[in-house]
Amino acid sequence: MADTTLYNPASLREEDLIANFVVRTKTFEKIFRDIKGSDMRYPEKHYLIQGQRGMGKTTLLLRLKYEVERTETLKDWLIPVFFNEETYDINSLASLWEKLLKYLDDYFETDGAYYEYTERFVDMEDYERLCFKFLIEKLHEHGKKLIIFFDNFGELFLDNLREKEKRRLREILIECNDIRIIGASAVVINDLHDYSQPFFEFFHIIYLEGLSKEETFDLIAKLQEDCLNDKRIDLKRHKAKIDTLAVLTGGVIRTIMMLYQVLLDDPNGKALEDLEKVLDKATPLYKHRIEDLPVQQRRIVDVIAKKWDAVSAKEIANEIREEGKKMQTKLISAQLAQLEKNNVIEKKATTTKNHLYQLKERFFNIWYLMRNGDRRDRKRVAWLTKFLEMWYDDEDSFDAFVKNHINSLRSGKYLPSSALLLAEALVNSDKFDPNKLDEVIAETSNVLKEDERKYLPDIKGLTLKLNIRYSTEEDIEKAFNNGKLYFLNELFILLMSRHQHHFLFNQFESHPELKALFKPTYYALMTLMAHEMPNEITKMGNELKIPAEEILEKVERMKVDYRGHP
Amino acid sequence: MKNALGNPARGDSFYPRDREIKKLYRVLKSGASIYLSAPRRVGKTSVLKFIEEHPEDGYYFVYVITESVESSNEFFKVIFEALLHSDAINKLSKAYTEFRDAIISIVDRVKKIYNVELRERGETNYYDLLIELFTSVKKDLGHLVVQIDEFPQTIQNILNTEGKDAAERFIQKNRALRHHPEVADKIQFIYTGSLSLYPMVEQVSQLTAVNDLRPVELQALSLDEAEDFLIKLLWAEDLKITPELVHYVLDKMKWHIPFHLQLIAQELIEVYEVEEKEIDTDAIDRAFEQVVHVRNRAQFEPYFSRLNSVFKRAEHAFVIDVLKFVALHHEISEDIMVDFSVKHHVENLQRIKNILEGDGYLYYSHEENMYRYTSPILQLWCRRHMCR
Repeated sequence: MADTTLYNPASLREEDLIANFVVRTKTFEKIFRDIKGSDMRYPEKHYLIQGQRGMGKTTLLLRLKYEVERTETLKDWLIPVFFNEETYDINSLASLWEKLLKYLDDYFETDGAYYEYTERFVDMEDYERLCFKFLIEKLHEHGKKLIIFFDNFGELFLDNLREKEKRRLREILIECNDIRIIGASAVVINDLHDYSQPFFEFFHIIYLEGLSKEETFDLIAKLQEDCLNDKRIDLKRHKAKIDTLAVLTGGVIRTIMMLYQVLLDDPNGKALEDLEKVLDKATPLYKHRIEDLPVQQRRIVDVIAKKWDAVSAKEIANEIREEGKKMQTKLISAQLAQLEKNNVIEKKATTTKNHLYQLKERFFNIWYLMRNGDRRDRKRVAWLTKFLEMWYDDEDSFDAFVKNHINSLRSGKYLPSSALLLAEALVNSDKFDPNKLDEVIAETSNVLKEDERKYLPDIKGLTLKLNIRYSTEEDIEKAFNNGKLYFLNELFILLMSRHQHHFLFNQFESHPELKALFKPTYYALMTLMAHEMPNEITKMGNELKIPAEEILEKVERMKVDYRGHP
Repeated sequence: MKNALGNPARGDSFYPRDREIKKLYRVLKSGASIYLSAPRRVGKTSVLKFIEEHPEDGYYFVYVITESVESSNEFFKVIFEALLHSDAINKLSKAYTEFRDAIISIVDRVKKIYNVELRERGETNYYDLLIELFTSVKKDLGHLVVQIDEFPQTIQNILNTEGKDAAERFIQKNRALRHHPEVADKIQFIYTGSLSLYPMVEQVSQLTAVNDLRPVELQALSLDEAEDFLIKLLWAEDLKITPELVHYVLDKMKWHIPFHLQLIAQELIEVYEVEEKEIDTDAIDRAFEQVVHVRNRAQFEPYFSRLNSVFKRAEHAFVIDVLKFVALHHEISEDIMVDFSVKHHVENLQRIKNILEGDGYLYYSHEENMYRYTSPILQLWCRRHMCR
């Protein structure tokens, strides 16, 4: 799908938009049933569709508009008007009436007569009322009524109304049966709307939540129909990946549409070379999401995004200073509640009052890390590391990816810059099997020119980091001496299978770096110890869920395999 | 019956309020003008619109809303123009030639004056024009009743933009209009609005300025009416529930105003559609939870934000404290209320209690000497969204 249509559904052909309209169908039917069943003899219910950017608001508005135009019983008397999200010239009631008069000029081919007529109202105190009255007169004359589909209704229009206009809007909504408004607004995200404004009572507010796994599947299946056979994705085979995609994107339609092709149609991991570009494509969407936030919330999101794993309000407070003072936890909690309500972050409840928070859409978090990573240290590839861990969420597929990657490197066609990026991302991953370290570095080195090799990850430093130096337990020491973290992990699993939970926990506590190296194992242990430490498990990111479950399965298997051994 | 949640209920969506309507006519027949009082969202506008559209013989109603009006002259202008364009005046003009001629002459003159005034930057005096219009209404033509919605808000607007003296003059001018010899025994007024009139008047003038208005209170629906209304709302969406379950809903609601019935009907239908199974008490409980979902904030927040206009500073802080306390503890005794008033340095406690009762927030149980929320739904909203 071209970028233009991704961001601007209005540029899609009507037939294509309708044909591809496969999600949000229930909401569409509900609103349209109401429109179709209303004769507008009396003022009707207005709608305000709210949802984050990329949730399908514009598409829904356009779908409704097209349906009104196509419905025999409506098209004779109901004129649909669509104002797109760049309609910057409607920011007062009077300018709305002016715009509608111009629209009617075009519709009835009056050669601009209606708008021109308002010239005589200029400078009059009740200019707005006069324009409105004139507009209604013209509608009555033609026996027509208007239904306005107004994108960005909150930001472009409502937020700019003066106090008097807001009260006037309510008067109009109470009395006027000639105009109906179906607005859409993304402002829910920063909640600038003051819902105490009495005119909101007249709007039925509909929230667009993220797509479910099933809806994501339906969407991708539909998008696939137009693909050439050789580009088509085997949906059945990718069902699990599509589920992952739904979770990681938070069900945001635009992100799903941007990423599904490059990610799913990628048996060899080649498309990862393009990932940076794909994420760049998401920049307008995500940039808005950040910029829509009030400053304090922006700073909080910054801290949470950079932490990646779930954090508490207190931890956030430690990171934010305002004029030399730490931001109050109370204030942070209030902002967190707001962010949660607006679906930017998600709360992980704990048994105490100190809940933990994480960015809801993991891709958004990845993008954030990419755009805000520190170029000087290893964090610069943190976004790619996090992505790889999320996408290849079980050990087998991660290993398979690494294997494929090595093969791709051997083919010699790999772009040096991508090879470097991936090498760095892989060796920083907790899931990376250190046995593959030498091989990855060697093969990457082969595709690089001499002078590029200095950018390779520092193996020496890594080996040092990977070898946790000190341990009092004989077995652990042995494992480290061999440099085989894999076996160390097996050992941890064995310990769990023998119910040595506290012993293992003590190791993690006294060597915190182990937690980072063996995250899934650590969270598997926390699952087993949940009755004692219920809060710890809630810190686990969604992407670790499946790996941790796999560890637990291994624990169970080991229990059986080693049954009877002393 | 279509669920007109949010909008004034019109046509088929309007649930007949015979008792209240009879009461309004009874007072109108006595010759008095009316202040129609009721907590917000009880259905004042719907009732006014209904009688405007379906008047008794010999009655002509004109509905005007003046919520955005910010000056006295603008107020009379809006009323004047609403009258000129109203069905009522149109009907009278068709029936009586003399009246039609009088109206045409006034309109012609307005055009002339208006243009002159416009050229010279003067201001047409619409109060005088209104008197002139009323003068041309002869008593035997019928009873002309002007319904003015959001009148207290207009006072508030004038107070905000032009100050206390202007607001007081405005109230007095309305009184003068009602008592004008050409108006007094021919034209009647029904004032209403979602802000309470009396506290607003007291802010700028004496209550005597409105003591000629006969208060008529619009009350919640009776149990039978509520039952009938709820069943009709659900039937409209093909949802039928047993009488026992209807009573279960009504018992939970306690205060049966049409708006809350519309809200719960909407949520019951939502639950029914999502779960695709028969409604039971658990489903009803879930629907109540959904009523106070954040998506309904546009329906609830005005309940609390309007208190900003009614009460200032310390009084406002006191009221919010009290409402939160009752939301959490289900009731508040006189003693605790007095204690709160000391905390906030509030002097006129009785006046505040009257408003909270009159505007439908709290009611006083004489048996238990306790204040409680009139509506458990409102209480739940406050607890969920304000007490956190």
